Amino acid sequence: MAPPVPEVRRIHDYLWEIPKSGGMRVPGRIYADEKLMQAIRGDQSLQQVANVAHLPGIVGYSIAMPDIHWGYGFPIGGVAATDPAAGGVVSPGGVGYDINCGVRLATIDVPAADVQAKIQDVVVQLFKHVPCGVGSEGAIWKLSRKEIDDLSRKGARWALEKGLGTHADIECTEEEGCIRGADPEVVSDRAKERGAMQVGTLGSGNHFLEIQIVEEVYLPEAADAFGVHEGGVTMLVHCGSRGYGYQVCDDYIRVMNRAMAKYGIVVPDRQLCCAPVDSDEGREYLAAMACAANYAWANRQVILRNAEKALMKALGVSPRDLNLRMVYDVCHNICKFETHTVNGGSKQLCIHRKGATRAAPAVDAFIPDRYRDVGQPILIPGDMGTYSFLCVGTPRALEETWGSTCHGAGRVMSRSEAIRRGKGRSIVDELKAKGVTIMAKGYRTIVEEMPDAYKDVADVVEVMERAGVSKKVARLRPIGVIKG
Amino acid sequence: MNRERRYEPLPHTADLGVRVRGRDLPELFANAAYGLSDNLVDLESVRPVEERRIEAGGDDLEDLLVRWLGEVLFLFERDAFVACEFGVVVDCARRDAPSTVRATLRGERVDPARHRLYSEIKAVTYHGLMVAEEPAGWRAEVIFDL
Repeated sequence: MAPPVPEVRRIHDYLWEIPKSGGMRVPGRIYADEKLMQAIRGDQSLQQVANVAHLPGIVGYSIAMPDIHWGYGFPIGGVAATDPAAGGVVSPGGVGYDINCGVRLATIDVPAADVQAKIQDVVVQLFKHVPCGVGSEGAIWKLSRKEIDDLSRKGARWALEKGLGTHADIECTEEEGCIRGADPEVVSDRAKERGAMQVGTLGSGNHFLEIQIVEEVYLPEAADAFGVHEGGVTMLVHCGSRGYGYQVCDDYIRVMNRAMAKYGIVVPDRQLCCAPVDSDEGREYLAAMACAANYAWANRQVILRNAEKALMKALGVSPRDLNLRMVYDVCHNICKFETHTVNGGSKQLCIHRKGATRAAPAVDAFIPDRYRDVGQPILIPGDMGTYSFLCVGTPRALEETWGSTCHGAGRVMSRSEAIRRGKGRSIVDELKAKGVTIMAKGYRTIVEEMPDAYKDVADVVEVMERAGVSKKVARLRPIGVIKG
Repeated sequence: MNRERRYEPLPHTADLGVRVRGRDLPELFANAAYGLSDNLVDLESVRPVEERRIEAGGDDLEDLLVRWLGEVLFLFERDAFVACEFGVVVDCARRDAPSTVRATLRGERVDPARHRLYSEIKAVTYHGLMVAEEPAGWRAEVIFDL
């Protein structure tokens, strides 16, 4: 029998609270409107929000974003901060299997009409240069053990050293594409073996690479600062740490399961397995997680520059004329140490974001100089046929959500249901009629990933806008997509 | 056993779950591996022309199932080898104690020209994991992260 849905009370139109009860150490807070709350109540994610509130050392609230849905232990679309100095824990489930699954946005200077006219070639070339899906091998080469260890220490900078990027790319990446403290010694051989063959590949499921047109600009000043203008062409990449990261998560779920009894930690759901940040297991997980996060940044960097080659080929332009420029790269599955204000004082906290994106405001030390007056760009991908959003962080995000916002749309329909609904339909043709050209490797990918299977990302982004946590800067419409 | 009856999909919004049955543990484990593999590549197009041997150990019976499927997945990822036949031996004296599984897999290397490819599977999870004895043998449920 499913556990009862926890009691929820409304704080304001876009914020709800699960009051502390039982073993909860803090309340739960959910950003949602009335309509999204109906869906949220239906899938046990509220219980998961309440479960996360049981974690030792959790500070503030167990936070949930409007795209929240049920996940392993932690819901997807959740943020939880723990205080390492107060026995706070770290949990691999609070990051997810796809460590540093994230999004990268870049602009190109070729006119939209030219890209549109050649979109079929563009998609074909992207499909060739960025391997995706089952059985895809690395887009560069199979790395040796030494090379992959090097990559995991350097992150995006590793790609630069191989001639696959510029310093500007690195500046415009969260954490400059590298989290410190990565230690390949605590990563298993199996994770390295999986990752060694996959550098430059996209993966499958909801990962994608898209060419888009900037359809509408909401905040012109911010858009200008980010280098984005209405009618311009952009490229969005959504993928993570591949088999390297999945294996790190897998390995450390086992380590943490065994460690729980040792530290006397009791949680309502076994999948909230965790260990104190200040413990051998905690430290090792964080060092391994950093390696995986760095792998993902190196991977997105390689993909960006390989996609550049594809675009040059399809459009028949030089790198100079293409002028591919990064807007930003964000992660949405991560655990980071950040300094935040707690009860008037500064504290270093361990922030878990699983299906949530950092949302730093103007002046924040973590964002590139060129964006300092505006705030951090936030990239929110939609599903494969609709739109994505570029947003910006606000001071309120720092006050309420540890500087975090939503990450995307979230599924509402199972894959088998999507396959049923897709019978007799050609989703490819439906997308073509909407102006989207798509190529996918997996036989069922396009139908499984149909737009109907997802929440409307516009609803999700709107809630965070109205809650004052993040602001829309631009809406991006896809014209060409590749998927695994 | 015909293909349709070797596993059933479990309803799950974001990922993929399978329910399998077996008259004994080897059949249960074989059907679980079949369910995993048939969601990577359409097994109807796979021929049992090459053999591989793999093994796994687990802390208990449920853990063993997850580890076993993890080995099948790893073989697929590392060697692009997909199996349609599984000769399984399970060494499990007590379900709550460490146990092992050894198997001979028969299949072939993935060939995009002949095989229908589906979606990658990131991991075999512990979520909703269940291995239970029934009057007719065993039943298990496992969810894969997609």
